[in-house]
Amino acid sequence: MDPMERLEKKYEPKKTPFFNARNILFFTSLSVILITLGIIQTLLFEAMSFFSQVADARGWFTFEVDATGLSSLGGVSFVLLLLALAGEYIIQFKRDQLERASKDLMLPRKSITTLVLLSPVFVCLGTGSFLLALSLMGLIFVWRRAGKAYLLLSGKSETTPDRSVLYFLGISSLAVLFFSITNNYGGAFGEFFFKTQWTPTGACADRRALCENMSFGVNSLLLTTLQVAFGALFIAVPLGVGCAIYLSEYASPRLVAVVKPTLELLAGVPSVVYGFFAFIYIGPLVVEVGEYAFAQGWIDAPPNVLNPINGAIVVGVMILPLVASMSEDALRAVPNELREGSLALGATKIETTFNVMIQASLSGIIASIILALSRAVGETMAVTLAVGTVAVYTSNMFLPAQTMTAYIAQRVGGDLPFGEIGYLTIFAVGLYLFVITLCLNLLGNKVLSAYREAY
Amino acid sequence: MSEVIGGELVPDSTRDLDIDGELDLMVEDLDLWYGSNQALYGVSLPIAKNSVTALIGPSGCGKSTLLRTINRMNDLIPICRYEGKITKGDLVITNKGADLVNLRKSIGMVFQRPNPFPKSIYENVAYGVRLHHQPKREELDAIVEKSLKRAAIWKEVTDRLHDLGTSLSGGQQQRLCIARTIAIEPDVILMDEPCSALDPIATAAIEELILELKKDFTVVIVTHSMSQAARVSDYTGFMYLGRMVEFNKTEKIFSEPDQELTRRYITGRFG
Amino acid sequence: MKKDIDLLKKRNRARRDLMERAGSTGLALTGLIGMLFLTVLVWQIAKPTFIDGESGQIEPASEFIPESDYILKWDHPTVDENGDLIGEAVVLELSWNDGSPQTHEITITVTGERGLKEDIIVDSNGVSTNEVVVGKKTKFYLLSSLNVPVTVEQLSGPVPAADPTGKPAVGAFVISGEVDVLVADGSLVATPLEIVAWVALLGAILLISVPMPTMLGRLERLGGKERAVKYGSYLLAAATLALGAFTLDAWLGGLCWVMVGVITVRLLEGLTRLRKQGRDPTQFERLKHTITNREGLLMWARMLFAFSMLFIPLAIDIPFLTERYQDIFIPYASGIRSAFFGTVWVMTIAMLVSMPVSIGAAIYLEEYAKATRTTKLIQALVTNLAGVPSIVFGMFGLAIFVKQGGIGLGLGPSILAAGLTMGVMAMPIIVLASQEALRSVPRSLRESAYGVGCTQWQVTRDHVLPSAMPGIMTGSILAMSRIMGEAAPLVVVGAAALVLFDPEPLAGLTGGNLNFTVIPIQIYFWTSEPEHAWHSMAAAASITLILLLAAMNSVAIILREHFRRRLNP
Repeated sequence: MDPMERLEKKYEPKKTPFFNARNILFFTSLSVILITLGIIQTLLFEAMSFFSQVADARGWFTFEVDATGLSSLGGVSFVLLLLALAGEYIIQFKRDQLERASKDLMLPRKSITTLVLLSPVFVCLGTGSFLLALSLMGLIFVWRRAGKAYLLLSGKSETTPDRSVLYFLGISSLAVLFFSITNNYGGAFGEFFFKTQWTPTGACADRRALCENMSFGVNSLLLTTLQVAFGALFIAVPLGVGCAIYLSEYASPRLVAVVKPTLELLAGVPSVVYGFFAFIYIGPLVVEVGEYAFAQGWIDAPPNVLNPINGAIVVGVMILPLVASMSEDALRAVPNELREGSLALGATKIETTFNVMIQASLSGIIASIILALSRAVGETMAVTLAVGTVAVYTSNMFLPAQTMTAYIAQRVGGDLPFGEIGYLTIFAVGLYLFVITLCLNLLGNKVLSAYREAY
Repeated sequence: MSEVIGGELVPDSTRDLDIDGELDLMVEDLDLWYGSNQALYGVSLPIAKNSVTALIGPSGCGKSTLLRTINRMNDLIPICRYEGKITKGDLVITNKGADLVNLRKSIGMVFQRPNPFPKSIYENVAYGVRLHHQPKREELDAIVEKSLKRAAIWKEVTDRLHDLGTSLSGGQQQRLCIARTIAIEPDVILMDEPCSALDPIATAAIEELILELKKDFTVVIVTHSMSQAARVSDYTGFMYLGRMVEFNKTEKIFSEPDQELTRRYITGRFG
Repeated sequence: MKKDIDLLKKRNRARRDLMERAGSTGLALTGLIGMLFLTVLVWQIAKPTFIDGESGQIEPASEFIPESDYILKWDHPTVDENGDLIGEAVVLELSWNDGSPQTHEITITVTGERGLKEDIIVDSNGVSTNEVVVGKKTKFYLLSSLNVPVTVEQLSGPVPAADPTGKPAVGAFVISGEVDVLVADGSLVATPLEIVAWVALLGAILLISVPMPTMLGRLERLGGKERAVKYGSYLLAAATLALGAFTLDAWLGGLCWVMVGVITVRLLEGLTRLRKQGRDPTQFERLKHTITNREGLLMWARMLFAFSMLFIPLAIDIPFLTERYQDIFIPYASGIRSAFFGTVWVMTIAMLVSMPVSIGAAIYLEEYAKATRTTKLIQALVTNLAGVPSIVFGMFGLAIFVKQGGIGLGLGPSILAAGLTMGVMAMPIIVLASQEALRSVPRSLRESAYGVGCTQWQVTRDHVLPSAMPGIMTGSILAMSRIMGEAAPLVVVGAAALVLFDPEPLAGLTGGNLNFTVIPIQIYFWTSEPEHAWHSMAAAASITLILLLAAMNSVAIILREHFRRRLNP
């Protein structure tokens, strides 16, 4: 054979076997999909069999129509949302109409804007209605969009209408309308999502099967969870972000070298240890405060060692390192030139920090807060030990309650037979929890990746 | 006196510092260290009012360091320390107790890479003014317009004042940064290789702008490009290994330099 | 010259300065508060066990059960595994004097049945019964309506387990012996030679990491005796091994000696080299660069030092660590042995399962995957799975691994099921860390490997993976420490509160005793107990857990720092 031909034969490309490195690695990565599908399948399957069991006895979704509800807070929210919808319509399709608006309305003084932006908080505290506050926030959002559009009126830059805002406002106003004219929700879904009574065992002779006395209003657990999670944010965000700013803007490298590992250590302490800490240390402290409040008549029942405040404090301490280290990363990612640029204009350090650095790293900080919120919602052991096991939601945060995760942990603690109603409830609660945290994570990671792209 | 470093005869920093006209800023005998590395050796530099002074030299010769010492930006680097004196009129800049806020207000700086804040164009220019003053909205509008006009960018951005400053092109961003700096009307503007990240057309625009700015401000510019120094500056200082090898009028330096080292650098034999 | 800008109204300078000062102080304070929390946490956890010197005093039962004056507690060697009675019955003598002195004997018999109980009621007429039959592990009460103390004396029967003196000390408090939680004997496990080896290693590390001219000067006198030093260290290692009877700590001590020998020889070589060049060898800055592979040596020495710290100087004979959980009634005699082995097995299985799969997935996503819809989906899933609450993974494990039927594997609440669940939980964390590590390998390395004709797999295997390995290892160790502290999924999977035997790792497949527990679970259940004594145990277990985690994290940090310095010197 010709030597050239022999060589060619030798180096003729071989057929790649099916189990080559690439395919094997691909299969390993498919396991991620398998796990996700497994989680969703498990939760969905068991949760649906829970809902269908309840639905067999009580129907899927029932409600009563009551038009008088329109005169309540729900009706007010509906009107607010309609106003917002109208404003958004003008912004997107009748932009030239904006010129007729007065300048003071569109671009008021900064102090007035701040006051208006804070108003939903006051409304929420005053009326106790989240819905009203949310609708007000929608209206304010549209108002600020209008202000921006008004500013741009002079410019020639043409912005395409952002329909998604319109659709969102439309759908939410319809939803608010629906809920303001209906009440007494029942059936599997109506009960689960809209009732605030969680007695999954009930006073029944046979606890395994569904009976009349059982009630599955998950809001009882959800509201406690939110109390704990937002309470935790209330502690962790100011401290964590403050700590991050101090570390990245002020602290000497030597101090950072001490504090950063400490933060990592704090982040690594297991949640059950935090739970123990809450149980033996924070609980009694909170009780002392609660007893004072009770003596003053601010709360209507004497405090208990296990309570949501206790949980909020301990979860706040737990997520503090997460907020601090992620916010610090975000602040460090801001190019040094921005800092120098501001200082070179004669700004003081604190002015630079608040006017430039925070604004530049805002989305990173927000992402860290969202992810911390997700962590707080999903936190289990610490809240199980700190908040208690009484699945009754009250606005008095000194009384024992139960979060979603704590319910699951407590319920499976006793050996639950496969398939009975109590076993199924944990999957319904778990699915709800999974969806909430997944949404938060998706949002947080999206904000974070947008931020990473910016720098 | 001179020292042989790396086979090169390096003279000590020059004392031959004659300028025409009024003196704005004076650097005297500046020594500077980063940790244990000395970066500047007894550098002196006079800066004349309403002129452009260029600093040239190979990379790492300390020209940016010198510039950053003038408005004390080097204070941000923890390991940096210096001895010597920089004066501006009666004010001793290098004093420990010097008021950095007022100092930096009167000595503005433009950086190597354009660094507009992540705010709108309007806010970028207004930021510095708001730091020091409480202007009414009309006054602020006027200042923003005036500064953008002086920075020769007004025509390009007049329609999009409320777009993000970062959405502009590189050359426009750099002019925006200059507008931001001149909005607070400093006496001196320090420019740290302002054109190194820009294309030739944007560079030409900035150079034109520098010549324009000379009428109202004192400009100190660090540059890599000798032709740029020759085009825009009145005085030129050549630095090498932390020493001010030669300082003189630009025409003199580029036609008949006193030092052999300078001659070899500007004819491209090294560096 | 008056400038236009000076016509504007000025901001108050004093106020700006004040804001600056107030702001920086405030921010520093927030930072401090974080540190304060840590201090309080550690203090509050350590205080009950260590600082107060908590040592086995059980509070009067009345504190918890108001209607009872005393609680009687025994370990139950009296009942064998089938529940049959082995030993004799317990005979107590109760006596009191409320005007008319009375003495009564009560015979207590324990049966295998649980929950059988009969309280003994004492009043001025005497005792309610003289023969009590109770089930094992059942509380029953001695209730007294007298207002004088009752003396309880044990006449015969097994000794209460928690009394170390062997005396049937049945008194007002039934268990009144002093049983320290953590330092019962306080004796060191390690032999003196091992400790010397460990200290010598510390000295050697110091010698090559900080300048100490006098010490180096002294060491220089050994110059030329490198062989002697080398064989001397081997000899010492052999002696340590022999003295320590070839246990783990003896091996570690031996390794310490060898390491000391290697470091000394390298140092001496460096000193000689410098001396030959005519430079002062005790000048540390120069010496640093003359020691062969100083960085690698330092890393191994530090890791050995950190690892053997747990086994040589800290290896005190602590019953808490070596004892099993004794009984539901005896706090201070219990230990975390079963829980510790449970933790070790769960982590081993989790890592065996998740590391190959996760690293494979990371390599695929970083090196092979094109930006198709599938890979984008996988990437998004990985990122978001890392944030799913751990308890959801527990429910996944419960349905897939624990329960039988449907898609369940039916492994039962066993170590195997727990390990698999934890492995699944660790996966996204390891994938993300490995991806980060792979991404940080410079593109030029890949390009140069392709440039000499490597296939993609060869590039990955021979060039990318070795450079990324430290990052991957660090990520894996951190994932390990994360799952080590995680309790929620295992509560769902079904870890037990009370495990009296060492766990069997494969019981899920082969049958046998499924029961297992891990340290966090043990802390959880001990915290849930009403009596304060258990809280001390929980505190001791917490401190143990934190120490273990800190040790693992420090190994990860040492690795990370070493490779960071090697990659960008």
